[in-house]
Amino acid sequence: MKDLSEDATDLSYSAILFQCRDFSREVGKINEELDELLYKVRLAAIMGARNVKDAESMVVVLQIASAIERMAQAASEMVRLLDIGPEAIPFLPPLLTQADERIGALHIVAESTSIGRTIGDLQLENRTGMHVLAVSRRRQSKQQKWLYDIEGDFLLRMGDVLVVRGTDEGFNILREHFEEGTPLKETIEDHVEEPDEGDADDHDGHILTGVGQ
Amino acid sequence: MVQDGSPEDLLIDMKDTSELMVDLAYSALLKNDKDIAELVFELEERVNHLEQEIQRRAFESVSEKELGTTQAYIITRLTICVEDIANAAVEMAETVARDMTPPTILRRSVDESDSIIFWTTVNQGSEIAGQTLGESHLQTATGATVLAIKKTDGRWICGPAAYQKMEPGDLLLARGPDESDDRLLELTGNEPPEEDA
Repeated sequence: MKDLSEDATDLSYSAILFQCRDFSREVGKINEELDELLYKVRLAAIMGARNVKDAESMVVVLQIASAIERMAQAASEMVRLLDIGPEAIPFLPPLLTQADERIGALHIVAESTSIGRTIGDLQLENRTGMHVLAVSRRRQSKQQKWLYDIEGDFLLRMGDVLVVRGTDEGFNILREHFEEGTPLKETIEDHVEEPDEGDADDHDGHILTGVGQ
Repeated sequence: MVQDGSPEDLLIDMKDTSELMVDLAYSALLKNDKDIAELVFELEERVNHLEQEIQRRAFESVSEKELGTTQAYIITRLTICVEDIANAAVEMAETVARDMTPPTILRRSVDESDSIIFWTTVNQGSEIAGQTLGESHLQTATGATVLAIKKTDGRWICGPAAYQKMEPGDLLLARGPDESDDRLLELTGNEPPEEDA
């Protein structure tokens, strides 16, 4: 449930960012799934209480269920803002990209050493702080398909487009890795050590620029 | 307490704060930690304050013709969504603060993540004192993300940017994998706890 509500919020932000109807549709699907789950949770909570002590802990469950529901509703409210009209479209994305965590897209090129490995193998989140929200993959039919709910056993293929969330620094590391084919270990080392040789003003800018061209 | 900046800038701050609150609410629940729940309440005030300020400035910007009505409308609507998310976090944290006992199964369901949330003070003379977050390469070096900085005057900086300076006495609120806290304690000039390693 926690995962679903977080996915809904993330996808809503991504939907706004990429103005992508697929994402907003997915937010709708997640919310339907969540509704069903919440119903079951509430039912189970009421059925599960046999005495006052039970009932007390079930109140917690119900309260948390309602909190999660509220978050998911707020997420779909945000997506609905895209329907306001063409005026909204150029205005909304910058509102979200300046936040400390940014969302961006990365293409996996043929040279990348990560092709054929799983997200879990690479330990992307542990090593770079970047979280993969969704992947766009071209099928045999050349049709593009969006995959959500990416887990550790997800196998990366050439041509995949990853939608990731994290810091600028992490994003730059992954961009060099996936789009220029530099091995992940090298890019991490470059980013952590190399800038210390330059002067202070210099590498501040280096982190802040370079994303999104 | 009132920050400078356009409604858009404040909105980003508000969004960052609300995300921090959700993060904290889940970990308060997970660890049954009242201190973390208290932080959520403290941040709620900040969010409420930001919401009022953003809406006021959005209207102001319209009257000064810096923003179109649709844009101001979108900003106002977004603040309501973000506020809702913050309120949901408060609702969650309340269960911890009120000493309600959650069923163990619930805690287990939240406990799938291996990251922890912890505080550390930046000590005088430590490696990162006086550096900016970007200069310190803290996230890449320790695996921990600084979620917020509490300055000595009580000011909160939620979702600090790379140019944010860390000064002696600042409290860093960080989240990261289990081992990252020791590494960060070291960088900030604190001794990692020796007992139960």
